[in-house]
Order: sequence, then C-alpha cells, then structure tokens
Amino acid sequence: MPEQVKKTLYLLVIHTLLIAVALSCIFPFVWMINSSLKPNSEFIQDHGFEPPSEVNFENYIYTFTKGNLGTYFLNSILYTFLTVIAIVIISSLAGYGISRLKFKGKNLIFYMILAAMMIPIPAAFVPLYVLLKGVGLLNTRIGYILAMVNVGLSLSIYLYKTFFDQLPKDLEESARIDGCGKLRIWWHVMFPLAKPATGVVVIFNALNVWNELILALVILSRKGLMPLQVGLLKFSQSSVGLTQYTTLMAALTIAALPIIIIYLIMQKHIIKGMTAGATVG
Amino acid sequence: MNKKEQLINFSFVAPALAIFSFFYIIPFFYTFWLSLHKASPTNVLDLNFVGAQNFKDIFSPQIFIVLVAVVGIFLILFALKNKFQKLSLNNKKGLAQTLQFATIAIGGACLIYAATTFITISRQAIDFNPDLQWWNSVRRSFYITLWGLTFQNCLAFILALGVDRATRTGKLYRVIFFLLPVLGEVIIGLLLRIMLSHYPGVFNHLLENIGLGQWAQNWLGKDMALATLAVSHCWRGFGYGFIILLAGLQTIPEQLYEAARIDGANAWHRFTKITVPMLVPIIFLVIILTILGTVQIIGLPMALTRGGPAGKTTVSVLRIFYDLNNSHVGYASAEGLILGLILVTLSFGMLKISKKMKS
Repeated sequence: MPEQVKKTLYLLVIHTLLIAVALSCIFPFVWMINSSLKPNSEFIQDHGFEPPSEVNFENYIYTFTKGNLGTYFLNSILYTFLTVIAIVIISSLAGYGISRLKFKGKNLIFYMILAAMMIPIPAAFVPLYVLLKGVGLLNTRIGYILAMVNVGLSLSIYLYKTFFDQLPKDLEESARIDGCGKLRIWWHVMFPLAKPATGVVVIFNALNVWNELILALVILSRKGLMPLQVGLLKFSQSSVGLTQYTTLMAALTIAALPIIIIYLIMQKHIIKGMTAGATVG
Repeated sequence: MNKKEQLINFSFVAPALAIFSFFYIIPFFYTFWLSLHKASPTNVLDLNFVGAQNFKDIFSPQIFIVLVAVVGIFLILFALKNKFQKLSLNNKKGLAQTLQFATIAIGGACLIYAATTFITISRQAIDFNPDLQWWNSVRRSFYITLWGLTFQNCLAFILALGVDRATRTGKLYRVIFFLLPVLGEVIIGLLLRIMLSHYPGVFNHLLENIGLGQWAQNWLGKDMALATLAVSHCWRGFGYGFIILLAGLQTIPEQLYEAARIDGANAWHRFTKITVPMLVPIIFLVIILTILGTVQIIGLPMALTRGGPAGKTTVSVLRIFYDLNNSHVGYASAEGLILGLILVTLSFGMLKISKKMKS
C-alpha cells in the first residue's frame, strides 16, 4: 500500500531527526564524565572518545582540595536554600494580602509588582552595585540573597495571588468564625492549600538562583563567598582550568551531576514549573 | 474598616514592598540619576555631575541632538492631542490640564536644548563619533537574537511537530531536550569551550572521523567565534520553545484535524489552516521569550569566549559589565538604560502585534 509506505517513511525521517538531536544533547555529558576519569595526557591523545584505561578520581580530589569547589558548592546550596525559603514566605504573605485583604493603595502596589517584571536585569545591576556598595552590602552573603529574593519576588507574588483568587472563601470564613487571626489563617489554612503554587515557586526560583550568574559576579568578588557558577568561571580561568582539561571536566561534572539527577527524578514537576514560570513572565 | 486593621492588612505586603523598594524601585530611578554622572576612577561612590555627556559619547552629539528634538516634538504632539483625558484620572480636569502643560513644557525644553546645542556644535565643528564599541556589542546581541528567532525557533517548532505526530506523549524527548536549559549556561559554555577550542580540538577530531575533515576549523577564532556562540546558544536554548510549543500543539483537539481530513484537506492545508492559526498566541510568546532571553545573554559568552578573541563576541550586557568593572559607572548606567529601553520597546511592540493578529 503506497499510503502505508509513505507514512512509514515519514515517521522514519522524523525519528531520525529526533534521535540525532537527542544524541547531540546527551553525548557531551557522557563524554564529559568519561573524560573526567582519566589523566589529562590520556585525554589529549584520544580526545575523550575512549573509555579510561583505568578509572582514577585524582581530578575530583584535586578540584575539591585545591580548586575550592567544595566551598562554591556549599555556598550555592546555602544561597539557593535561603533565597527560596525567603521568597516562599514573603511572596505567599503578599499574595494572600493582595488577594484577600483590603487596604489603601493595594491595586497600585500590585501593578507596581507587575511592572517590575518588565524591568530587565541589565538596566538594574549597575545602580544596584553602587547602592549595595553605598550601604556596605557589597561582598556580603545577605546582600546577594536579598538581591536574589527581589529577582524572584514579583513572579512568585503573581503566582500566589492568582492561585488564592481561585480558592473558595468558605474555608477561610469557617476559620475566622473559629476565632483565627489573619496570620494564623494564612499559615494554617491558605498556605497549606497553596501547595501546587508553592511547588512552582520553589522549582522556578531554585533553578533560577542556582544558575544565576551576573548578579553574583557583580556583588560577590571574594572567593569564599562565590556560588558555584562564578566559582566555575574563576576555576576555568586559573592556570589549571586553562590547561588541565580533565580537571576542569571533573569540576563541571560535580556541578552538573546533582542537577541532572534531581532533574531526572523530578522532571515532570520541573518541566511544569519552569514552563509555568516562563509563560507568566 | 479602622486604621489599625488597615495597618495589619498592609503589613502582609510590607516585607515584599520593602525589598522591592530597595532593590527595584530605587535602583530604577537611580539609574537615570547615575547616567548623568561620571565616577572617579578610584572610588565608585565619588560621583561628578556631567549632564548628558555619557549619552553624547554613546550616540555622538549629532545623533543625540536629533533624538532629543524628536522626543520633544513627540511630547508636544502627544500633549496637543490631549491623550490625558483618556487616562482615568477620576475626571479631575485640573490634573489632566496640569499634566498637559507640563508635558508641553518638557517637550519645549527638549527642543530648546537641541537647538542651543546644535548652534554650539556647528560652531566647534565636532567630529561624528558614536561609541562603536558599544553599538557593535548591541549589533552582536541582535545578531545572536536573529539566529535565535530563526534557527532556534524553527528547530523547536519542527521537533515539537515531529514529537506531536510521531510519538504518543513524547515524554522521553521532552526530558532530553529540556535538560540543556535546566543546566546552567556556565557549565554548557565551559564544556563547549573544551570541545570547540583549537587545542586539543575535540570537535575537529570528531568531524575528521566522520569524514567531514574539510569543515574542521578554529571554531573560537576571530572569524567564527560569534557564529559559534550564536549556534551554541540556539542549541542550549531550543528546549524551552520546544516544551511550550509542544504543550500548545497538544491542546489542539484531534477532531479538528479529522474534520479537515474528511473535507479533503491535505497535510499542508491542515498545517497552515489549523495548526498555525491555533498556535499564534503561543508562537508570539516564544518569540518574546526568545528576544528577552537572547539580547540579555551573558553566561554563555562569558564561559565560552570571555568576549574574545579581540572583543569579537562581546555582547551588550558583557560590555556593560566590563564598563562597570572599569569603574565607568555612569557610562554603564547610560548603556543599561538604552538597552533596557530597547528591550521594553521590543516586547511591547511584539505584544501589540500579537493583539492585532488575534483580532
């Protein structure tokens, strides 16, 4: 049947293209992990296309002991953790306030928050640098964390606000009749109900903070404070990073592998969260 | 509702508002102020007022005058058309009128300023000398954006169509294609740096092995670096568009295609008459996201080439960052303002076009 043949041929072309692109996405990481397990001299000979003659973890040991990777890694975890917690608390409070409570200037504040999403980072990081320097928050953890909280805040408030808008008011009413204050209603009723919104907020912001570069570059110049992305850049520009390719690849593997594993475990939520975040923005 | 309750209610947004004011609102207005200053090379906080000098340096005085004059004329026309009545000012006629007069006054001031500067310049015979370093970096950003809009989005669209047609859910492909956007730009940039650099030449070696040796070249050299950066960016970023477009494709009901097939529409007609029209809002979303994401790239060039060789891959945000590093705070602010203005204009323009397409 010619119709059948045509369809099979069509599917074959599509699948070839899909598989080729998919391979181009996976291959570099396999190559990276493979190369990071061999000494540099071996890598230069075989370009990392052959399995290591013997597995050795010297590169990994070097990146942790001399390359400072451990510090960068812990810094990144600290920044991500604190920023996300702060964003969730502050933005769910604000989202609840804007959605349910009455006060003067509420709409103005909400529009301001929406407008802030339009301000591009390149127009904002220069004055931020001068301001932070002026108040002595440059090169401090708290300065960077607050700046990152600010970056994620407007989108998160919007997500919480729209989520709370859709919730029925009955539960709140009954809690109020039971004598709950507003803060307790937020904590015991609204916040637990908002789990789907919280999921999106946590995933979107966690990835955002983990991968953030420009603010970290501008605000943090002390080695002990740098997060992983800036640390990797620093390491790649050191004499070891420029010449010892396999050591650099060990560092990249350390940075990439946790994300890849977390991504594979939670891929459904991550894809949903990232697209929800991006679509709103 | 009494005052105390208002205060309690307001306290829910207070923390958000406090962070916002310090990190967004104050910096936003501060940029304008900063852009009129020059910092001393030793201390960034030591600012000297220089007026519009930074903008004159960026645009060259001649173009700057023209721009100021155009803005002045625009403001006056805007005020004369009396658009302020349309703004909902609670029918306060006095306020609308004051705004109108203020706008005319500002517009007039712009025109006078342009005229006087024109006279002084024409006497001094100043050379036409815009800051090419900056405008070239903007051009590079837009060159990469052009690649993103064409190559990256076409790739995303073709792959999304393929997955939608050929597999039931495409879960595996979704997971694989979205891996690159999830990983940081720095990791991917450094990985590509090792792969593409002339020594040890992994990518060239790969090309030779599959019989394409004549294509081997210095990918990060002076001639190729910008194109390499653009293609790398597309490769890293297509996953986003792919996921969004695929989600859009899967919302188109199958019955529509069935009905069209019964009516005798061929595949091409089904594509142009059903798929594309249904996807218009999503396509515009992807285009806006691509523009915003690509004009602002910094991580990938930072990791891949650090703006080199010889500044051939210094994109606009990287240029601003380098200026800031050299303590040219005022100049960097002015550049940031210009770039911000371009971005906001572009995204608003796209939104307007998409609204027109919808109706």
